[in-house]
Amino acid sequence: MKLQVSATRMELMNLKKRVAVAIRGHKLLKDKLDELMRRFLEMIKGYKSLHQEVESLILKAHNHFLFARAMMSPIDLHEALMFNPENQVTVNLESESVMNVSLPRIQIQGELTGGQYGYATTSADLDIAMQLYKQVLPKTLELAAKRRGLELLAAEIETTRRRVNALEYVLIPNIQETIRDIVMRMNELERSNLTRLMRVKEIVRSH
Amino acid sequence: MPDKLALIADEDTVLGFGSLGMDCHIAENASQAQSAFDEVMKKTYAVVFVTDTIARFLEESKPDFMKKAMIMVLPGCNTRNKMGLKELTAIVEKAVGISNIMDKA
Repeated sequence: MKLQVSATRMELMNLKKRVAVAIRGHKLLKDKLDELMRRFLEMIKGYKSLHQEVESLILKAHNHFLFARAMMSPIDLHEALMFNPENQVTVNLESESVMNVSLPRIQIQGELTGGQYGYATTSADLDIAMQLYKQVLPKTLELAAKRRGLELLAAEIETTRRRVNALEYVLIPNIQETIRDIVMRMNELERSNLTRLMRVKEIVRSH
Repeated sequence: MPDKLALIADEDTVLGFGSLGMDCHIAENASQAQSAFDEVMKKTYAVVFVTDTIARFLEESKPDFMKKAMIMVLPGCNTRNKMGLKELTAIVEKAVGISNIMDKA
C-alpha cells in the first residue's frame, strides 16, 4: 500500500532515509530474534532435564513421607514436623539480563533448617523424606525461575517476530513502493515539461 | 523484594514439603483453593507452590492464574501424578509457533 505523501523531491529524500533506517533496523531485529531463539532452545533443553530430575526426586520424597506417615502416629508426626514454627525459608530474588530481557534467578539464603526433630519417635522414612525435600527445594526454585524466564523469553520472541515481520512485509515494501511511485511521477513531469518545451519551440519557429 | 515462599496444598503435602519453612495454606476442595489463592495473592511471595490438584481447581475459575505470580505446580502427596510439560508446551507454541520442537530439543 502506498503511503500518503506528496510526490516531491524533498519527500523522496526523506523516504530514502527512512527506508535505509528500516532496513538496518530489520537486520538488527532479525539478528536479535535468532539469538533469542537460540537461547530459548538452549533453556528448554536445560528445563527438560531439570524437570525430570525434580519430578523423580519429589515423587520419591512423597513416597517416603507417606510410608513415614503410615508408620508413625499422627500426633508424633505433627509434633516432629511442627516443632519449630520459627523455621522459614528465605530466598534471594535476583535478575539476570539476557538480550534486554530480565530473567529471574532465585537462591536460598542460608541453610535449610527443616527436619529438626527428635529421632526417638520418628521413622527412618521421615528422615529420608525430609532429606529429599531439602535436596529438591533449591532445584524446584531453579525450575520455577527457569519457567518464568522461558515465559518472558517467549513473549519477547513473539514481539520481536511481529516487529521483524511488520518491517519486512509492511513498512519496507510500502516505502519502496512509494519511492518508485514518486520517481515515476517525477520522470513523467520531466517528460511532459520536455514535450511542452519542444512544442513551444516548434510554435515559435513556425512564426 | 519478596523473599518468602508459599504453598497451597493438601494436608499431607503441607506437613511434609511445607515443613521446610514456607507459608502454608491447606486446601482440599475448589472453594478452599480459591480462598487460599486469594489470600496468597494479597501478599507478595517469591514463589508460590501449588499441587496439581489445586492447580486444576484454580484453572476452572481462573484460567490465567499461572500468570499472576511465579507459580510452580508440583505433584501432590496424595495424587503423586507426574508433573507433565503441558504449560511449557503452551509457552513454546507461543514463541516458536509449533510445539513439537519440544521433542527435538
